[in-house]
Amino acid sequence: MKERAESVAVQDGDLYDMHAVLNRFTGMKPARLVIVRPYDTASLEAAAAAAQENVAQPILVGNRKKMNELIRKLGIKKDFVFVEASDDNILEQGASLLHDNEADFIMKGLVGTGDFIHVLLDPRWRVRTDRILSHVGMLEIPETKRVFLMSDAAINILPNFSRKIQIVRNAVDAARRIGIRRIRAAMLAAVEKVKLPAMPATLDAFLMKKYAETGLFGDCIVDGPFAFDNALDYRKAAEKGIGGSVAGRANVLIVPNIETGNVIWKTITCLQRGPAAGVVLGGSCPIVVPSRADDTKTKILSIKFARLLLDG
Amino acid sequence: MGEKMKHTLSCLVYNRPGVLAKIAESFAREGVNIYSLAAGEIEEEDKSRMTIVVDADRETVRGAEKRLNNLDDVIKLHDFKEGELIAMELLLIKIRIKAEEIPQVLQVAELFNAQVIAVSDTAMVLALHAEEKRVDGMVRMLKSHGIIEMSRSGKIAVTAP
Repeated sequence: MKERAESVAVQDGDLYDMHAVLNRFTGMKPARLVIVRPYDTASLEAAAAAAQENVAQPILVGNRKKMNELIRKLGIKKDFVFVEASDDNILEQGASLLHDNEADFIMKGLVGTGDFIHVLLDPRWRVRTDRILSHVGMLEIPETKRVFLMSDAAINILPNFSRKIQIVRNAVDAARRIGIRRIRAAMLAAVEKVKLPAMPATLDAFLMKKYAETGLFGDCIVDGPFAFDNALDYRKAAEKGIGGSVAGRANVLIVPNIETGNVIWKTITCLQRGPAAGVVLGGSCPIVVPSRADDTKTKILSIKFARLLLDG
Repeated sequence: MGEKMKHTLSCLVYNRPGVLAKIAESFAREGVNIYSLAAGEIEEEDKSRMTIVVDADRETVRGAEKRLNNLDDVIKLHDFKEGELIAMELLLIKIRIKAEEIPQVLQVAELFNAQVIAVSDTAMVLALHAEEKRVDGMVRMLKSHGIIEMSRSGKIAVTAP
């Protein structure tokens, strides 16, 4: 991890204040970001903000006339690099920029996630690695502003144990790269004890804790199963008499399935209007795959998160 | 003497004391070893079905069948041919947990559609109900991971629909 100019509150190995964490790249060279089919307001506004803040140099791939019209309509005063592409080969055009080393990372605009990932995983673009792709989200606890990562809310639907190993690996790796010094990963379920056969997530959580003892994930502690509150709130954990160094102090949450991750993500972004950033990891570069419903703020934060990981 | 092979016999009997001993004796008198035997109530409370697997040549099995048919307790006896029956076995197997082997053990369980039904710091118990060959296959694959204890129900069967 390179030293950053900005100061970020660090306490007990944790990071505080998501905006401060994600703004640490100031003064660094902006990375080249391909945005495929940015035909929506949030993508273009995020591209403009990323350029304005020197986070990234956006390369917009799509119908130039269409993109210019929208840029004019939004009143964006920024010069972008454009790559003309029709819908027939727009995804391939974007991927080829990564392959030809003309871009450092990639984001989708108005494109279905499935199609986008499917094209990126074509071996000819060399985005695919020996790891699986998984989504890692960055969120913060409103009360304390303590930053935590969560995975996987977007790619792996109902991962089995083997896939969960990869998900933990990607998330722990991301935590390390953004500068969390004491990584405490909590395997989420609904309760703290193994309940079989009713709650298979509790079994995976228990076994992941044991598996982590092999040292596969490096310097980090993995524990579980935990209910959500007992993973993040040490008072709740203490009330229930749940011990260990992860209880109430987790900075990485591994959810058992996509529904759990999606609900946590939407509860924070939709109900609390809290900040959130999300990136897909496991490829040769961070991939920004925002939901089409994500607002401009979330898209900017996601670009910053990816930028940080690119350099971490 | 013909070639030895596995025979699956379905034996419908009255559910009363001593029946099992008489059936076992019928096989013993013909020198037939019972490979597995599973018994349980059926839809009529006073009757039980025994699914008996023996490894013997056809002639010897015929001799045992004759003895069984002479018992008052036996209502109906059938030697199933392949394809005539739907048969399954239940396996409970306790495996030692070695941290580095957890993914492989779970992969085997997933492959055979077995379920982990209990776990502790040192061991886990898998349950599988499947055809005999699949049960054999899973046991073979788990052998190298350290089997602590294992129990098989023996085959139970009904006629194919």
